[in-house]
Amino acid sequence: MKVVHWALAAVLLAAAGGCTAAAQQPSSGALDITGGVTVDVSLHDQLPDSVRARGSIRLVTDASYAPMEYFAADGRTIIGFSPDLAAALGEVLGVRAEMVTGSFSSALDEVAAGEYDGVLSSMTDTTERQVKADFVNYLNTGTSIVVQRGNPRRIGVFEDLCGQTVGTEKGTYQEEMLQRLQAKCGDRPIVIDSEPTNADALVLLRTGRVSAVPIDFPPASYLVSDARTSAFYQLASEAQYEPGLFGIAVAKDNVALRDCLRGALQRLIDSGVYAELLSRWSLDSSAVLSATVNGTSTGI
Amino acid sequence: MLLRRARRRPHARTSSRLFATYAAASLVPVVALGALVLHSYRNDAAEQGRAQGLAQAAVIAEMAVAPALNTEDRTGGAGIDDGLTTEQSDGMREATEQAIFRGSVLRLRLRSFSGRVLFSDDGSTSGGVPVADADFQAAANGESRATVIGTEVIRVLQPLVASASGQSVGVIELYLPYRAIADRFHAQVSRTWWRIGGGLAALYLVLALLAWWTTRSLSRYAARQEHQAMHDILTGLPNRAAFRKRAEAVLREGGTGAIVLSDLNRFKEVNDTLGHHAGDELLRMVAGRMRAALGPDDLLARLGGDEFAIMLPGRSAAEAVALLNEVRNRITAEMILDGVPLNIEAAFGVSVYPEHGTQLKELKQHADFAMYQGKRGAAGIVVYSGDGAGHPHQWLVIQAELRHALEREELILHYQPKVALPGGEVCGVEALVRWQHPQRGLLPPGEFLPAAEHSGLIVPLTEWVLRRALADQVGWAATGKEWTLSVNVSPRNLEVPGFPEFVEELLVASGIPPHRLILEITETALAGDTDEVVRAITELGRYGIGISVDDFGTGYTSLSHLRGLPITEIKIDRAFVADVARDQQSQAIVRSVIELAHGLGSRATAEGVETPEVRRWLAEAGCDEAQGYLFGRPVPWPQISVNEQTAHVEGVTR
Repeated sequence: MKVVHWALAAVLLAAAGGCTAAAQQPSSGALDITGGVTVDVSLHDQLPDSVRARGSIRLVTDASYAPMEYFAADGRTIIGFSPDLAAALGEVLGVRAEMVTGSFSSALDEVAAGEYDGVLSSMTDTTERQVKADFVNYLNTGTSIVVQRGNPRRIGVFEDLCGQTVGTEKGTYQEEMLQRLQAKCGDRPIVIDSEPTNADALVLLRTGRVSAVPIDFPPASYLVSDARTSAFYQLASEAQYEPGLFGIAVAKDNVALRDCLRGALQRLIDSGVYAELLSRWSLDSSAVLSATVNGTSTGI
Repeated sequence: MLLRRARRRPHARTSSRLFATYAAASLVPVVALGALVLHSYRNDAAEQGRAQGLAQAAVIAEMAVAPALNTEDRTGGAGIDDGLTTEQSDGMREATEQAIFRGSVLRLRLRSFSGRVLFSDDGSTSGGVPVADADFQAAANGESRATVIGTEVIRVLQPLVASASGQSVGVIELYLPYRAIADRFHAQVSRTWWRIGGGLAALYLVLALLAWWTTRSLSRYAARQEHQAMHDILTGLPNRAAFRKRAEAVLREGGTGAIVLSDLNRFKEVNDTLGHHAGDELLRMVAGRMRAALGPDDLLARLGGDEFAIMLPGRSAAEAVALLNEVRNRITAEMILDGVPLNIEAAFGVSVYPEHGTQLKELKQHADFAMYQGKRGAAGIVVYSGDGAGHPHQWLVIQAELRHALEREELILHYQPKVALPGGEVCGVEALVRWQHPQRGLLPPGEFLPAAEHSGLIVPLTEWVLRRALADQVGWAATGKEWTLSVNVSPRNLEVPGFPEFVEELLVASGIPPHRLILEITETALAGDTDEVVRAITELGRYGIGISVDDFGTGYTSLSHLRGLPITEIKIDRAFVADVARDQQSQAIVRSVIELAHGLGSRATAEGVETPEVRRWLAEAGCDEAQGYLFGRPVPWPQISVNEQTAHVEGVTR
């Protein structure tokens, strides 16, 4: 078994661009909360000095996107797939991963300004955004349209949103999708209502002030299957539009951190911890096959 | 009546004490239940009040506070630690001022997690719950808490959730009026109190009724049980235990009075011939007759079988005897049982207190002894006569010693001669038993025969006497004397099955002709002639053995008893013989008895002949034989011939 581990580690490191193949060995006896996750000393050593000095990485998130990231009943603890993934990555890197609440629309700018180390907030990896940051892709999913239960506006496909008032979270990929659709709507323009958080948009849908909210498939699916919300929401259709990748946004100039995060994610994928975490949040269908940077979707 | 009242009172007391215990015991669970129900109801109501406060606070937070804070320019993660924006403060004021003004909300503060007052309805930034307060900490951790302060205010601390995302950014500190809730709650509690109190009171009433009913049944049952325990079921008279209890009570009070024991003479016969039912009926009738003759203060009890006890408080011996005569007359009156006319006799033994003792046991023993004497003798009512020979205390001792005496051959036989009249030659002897007691010397029969008779020891004793006397007879027959042998036999012997055969076998073994043996039976014994006795006498007669009626004239023998029995001798009681030389009535009686004896084909024998005059008179009257000190005292048989000589020469023997 040890031989296999060594060989595996070697292959992984060869693939992990910026992280040079140095003497690396899984340290034993480290914190082991997710089972099989151990500190990768070589990855830890390659972390930026500031991160190592601090002993933590700070990831900003807008916790209004169950089951990806949202507030627990106490209103203060952030739970969901993203914090779990962050914790697991932190385990591998040997630092503490902190999730910090922030505004989604300004998150990239704050990362670029160095206020946070990265964005982990179900952010879709787009070429536009790649101008501001590099993305370590960790989830592969499309967009679904959430409507009121009973679908009173008879919305079927994405183009049906023309002529409707549609809610969305400010600065999201979905807002961008709607703006692109707007160009095709002609004399039936969409009234786009951009809200500070995804929850605010869903409040508008619940009270009928908007007709639909396009959101990523995982939270959409969660919304229509959870007992507390399924009475009010449903999916317009099973279709997922514009499949893309969620990525952890890291500042362009922070290549070391980006590569270390990618390496750590790859280790999680290989060790099965990634699959385990997906399974915990019923996201099995959204798995990425390998950890990439600024990658492209493999389709749904 | 006096006794009954005295008996009732403890019953009532026990009963009411039991009822009080029941009542108190059932009060405890009833009160406890009431307290428990009320307590939990109060708790529930208070909990309900708090829950209402929480719900109200939640509505206020979501409908007024959250919209005011959830402004467009809010930056998601920034929170409100740095204070509210002007827009948010204005929004809060607008949203809450109506409620504050109207008193729906008494006080409202928004607090940051660090405790800083971000907003207050009165504009101040001081005051508020300390951060260390448990409720504040709970609210900071997402849990709402409501606390009632005094009776007027309810304080709610809950998370401050400003946006739909559910993020808690601080703590809302809210004071709501509790007066209305409290009033309603008090009204509810007091209504419930009355309902539960009423219900429990009714329940307690039912329990008390049950307890009362149960104690009443119990005490009635106990009274019945006690009555049964203290009374004879057959006659309804007090029983042995009751007699002892009441008699002892009377004795403790002192004074004078008499204790009487009585039993019926022919009860066994009635039971055997007419059946137990008739026996029971007889007892009931006798009990009724006795009770009727007694006064209200006299106590009559049935001790068992045909044995009765009477206590006659305040009466002297003479008064007691007079009363008992009346009782006896009533009992003796003819009664008809199952169509059979009967005359029942009763024997009474009387002891008098304090002369004969102050303890019931002692008095009863004396009375028993006296009664026994009465049954033996002629008198039906016998008053105990002081420390007599057979003091009942010694009976048990005597009985035990007598058993040993029989084994150790401590008994000896003396013989008193009987002489033929008018000649004066000895024609027979009467065997009389003496006891050579190791400590007390030679004892006359009166010292131990009553005890033996009483215990049944008389049977082996008589058998021993017969065996020894017959052996002696063989002795004197060998010297050429042809004296007959008289032996006294108790009715108990005659009742033993096979007694005649036993005697016959002894005669055969000793070779004595049957007519040389005479068995003497007291007239009183004959009077109680049961079938066994009659059969035994007839059988003995058939063997040729002589039968003598002893003490004739003092018992109650009906002359008809003599008819058909093989009587060979009638012994005239010494009471008539003693003064027969002078008293004309005695002369008439003795003459007629002699006549009667001859008429029945029997010999007439006079007892207690002590003077030559009497002897002369008897000889002239035609009496066949005589016995007495004149002819000789009881002595061992070899000495008899000497006495015979002196009697002839001197004519007097003292």
